[in-house]
Amino acid sequence: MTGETYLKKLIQSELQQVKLLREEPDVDVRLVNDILWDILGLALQFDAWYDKKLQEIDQTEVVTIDEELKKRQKMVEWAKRREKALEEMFDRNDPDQKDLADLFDDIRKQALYTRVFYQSDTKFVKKQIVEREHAHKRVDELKAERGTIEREIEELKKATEDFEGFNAKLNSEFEKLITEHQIDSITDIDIESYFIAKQYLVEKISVAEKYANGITNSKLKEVFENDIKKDKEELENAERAMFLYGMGELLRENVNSFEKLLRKMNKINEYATIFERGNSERSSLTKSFIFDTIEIEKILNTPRRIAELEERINDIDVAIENAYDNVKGLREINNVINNIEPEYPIKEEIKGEVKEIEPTVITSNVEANKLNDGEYKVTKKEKAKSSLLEKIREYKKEIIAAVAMAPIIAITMGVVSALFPNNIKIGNSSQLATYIEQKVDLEPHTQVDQIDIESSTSDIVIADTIDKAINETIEDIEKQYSVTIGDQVFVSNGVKYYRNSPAAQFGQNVFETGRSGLKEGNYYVNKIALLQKDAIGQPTGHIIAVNDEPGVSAEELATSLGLAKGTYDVIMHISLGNTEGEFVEYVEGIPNNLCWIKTIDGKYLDGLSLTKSANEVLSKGRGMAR
Amino acid sequence: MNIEVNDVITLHNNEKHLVLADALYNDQKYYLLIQVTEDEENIKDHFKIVKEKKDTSQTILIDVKDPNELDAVGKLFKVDSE
Repeated sequence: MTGETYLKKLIQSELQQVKLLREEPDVDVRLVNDILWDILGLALQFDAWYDKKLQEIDQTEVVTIDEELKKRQKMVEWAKRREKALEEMFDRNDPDQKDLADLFDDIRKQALYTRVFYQSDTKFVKKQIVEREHAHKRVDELKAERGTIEREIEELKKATEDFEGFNAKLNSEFEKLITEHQIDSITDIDIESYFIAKQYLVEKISVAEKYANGITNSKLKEVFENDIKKDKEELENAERAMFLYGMGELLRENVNSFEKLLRKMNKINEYATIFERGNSERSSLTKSFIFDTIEIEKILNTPRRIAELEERINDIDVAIENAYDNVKGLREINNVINNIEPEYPIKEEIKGEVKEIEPTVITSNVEANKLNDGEYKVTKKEKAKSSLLEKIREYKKEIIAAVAMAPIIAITMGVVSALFPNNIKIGNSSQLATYIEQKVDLEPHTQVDQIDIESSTSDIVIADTIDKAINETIEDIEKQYSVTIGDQVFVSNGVKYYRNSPAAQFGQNVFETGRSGLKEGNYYVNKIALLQKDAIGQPTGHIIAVNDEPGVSAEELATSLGLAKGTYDVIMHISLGNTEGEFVEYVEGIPNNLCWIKTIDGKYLDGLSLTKSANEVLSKGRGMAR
Repeated sequence: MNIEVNDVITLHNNEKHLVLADALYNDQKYYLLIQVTEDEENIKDHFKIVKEKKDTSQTILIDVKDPNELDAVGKLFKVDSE
């Protein structure tokens, strides 16, 4: 039996014992409480067992990133298992178990944060593997391209070096054409005859055509037209023979370099073009000349082309060398996960952001920008009117007492509305005072280490009710305002936005919705950055963490990193979503990723308001794929 | 500018606040403020705990947000003996 099963069974057995004792006519309260304390101790051991298990897995030696991923996935699996076990450990419908469950709440939350933390680590490792695969593929493509280029260079060099061979091959093709078209059979005398015939036929056809137009007798007209047709055929033959004769001379011109060969081919093409002007398509004879010319031009461009290709090879070599730059190795992964600072500084990647926005820097209102968020300049001071002091006098004591008791609620929601859900107006000081007295009296019941097991049932019920009210109020505040990846947020005009998260924290290079590129409207939170504040709450520009896991809230992220409230700023990154306006996870470089906006302690305040919670957005199950 | 209890201060954003109480903690001055209406005749249910920013020629108040600091300072505010 594993420690896990053993402890679980032991807890269940003790819980059963409590149930049986409660069924007795005379309940032995002391014995019940003793067992409850035992159970609490066992539950803590149970949780510690998982810690040990997780630590054990974490300390497993791995050699490759793939093994690291398997290790991380195993840790997430165990973290989930613990979360589920702790969730199911106590039955909240049973009053005894409910008390235990409440006492165990912080540990359950811690288990949840741990799981989120492990999931984030796993995602990070998985990302490296995906990037490594991309890099592999890219390198293969680059190597293939390099091979093709090398072969091309080789062929080009070979062709350049072998003019004689190329020219001989071309001459052989030309001789074949000469033979095929019987050019050698055309003599100088033939050409002279063709020339005279041509002149005669041109004149004859012209006259005959004019005369034929005026003939009305159809038979006579037909005779004339047949004659014209024969004459035209004879003219065409004469022209073709003259063309071939001239072409033969051009084809046999001797050259000794590619440059001269190109000039020869240009002359041939020009000659062919003049002869064939008016023909709708070139003959197979002249078409082949064009291809030959292109081939020669290509050879003549070889040095330039080789230089271009060699430059491309250099680029490819650099790209291959840098292909794995964005992939972290096992040691780097562990450094990031264990928060070990690298020996060299990591700059935040801001390339590609705010691509679609053409912002203009606001130069006005410089004075106001000097104040950081949460800072106020006192512009005037005067004594309060006596009428105002009179109004506040009778409630002042209660208000100050309430602030002393629950300052966070007082400043977040206001004293009266926070402590009294029924919206009792200021003025009902007796109820406020009563509440405060009750709360102060019952305060010890909320302390884990001061449980008074002898307290009466009514005291516990009152304490529970009040604590529940306070807890629910606090939870409501948290839920309402916790910035979460996947939230749809409405950004009003006048909200300041920035190119990167440190600029947002410092308030440098500010842009403003409605005045710069970004318009008022709904956007999605697709990334959250936590930036450190110094001891006096001033920004440092140091990025503690950046997370793009949908569903993770700023608060969860901070808690998982063990950050105390007030020691960091929450900067959110927004996007437009996909073309259908649905949420998509952050992917670097896509144009829909927009800009950074600083939140007030991770809350939607001052021009930002929640349109749809991440829970609602992500439960649709659409638009999640990268 | 020396801020005292029962003063009404106007902030750069034109909000007006009545100083309900003050306290000294870790050599730092803290104030409990309650917002008042524009005509300074009525209060709003909106509180702030602020501290003075040191080493400035102007009077700058900073929102206190750290829960531990709030807990510590919240208990130090006393009703003045008017």
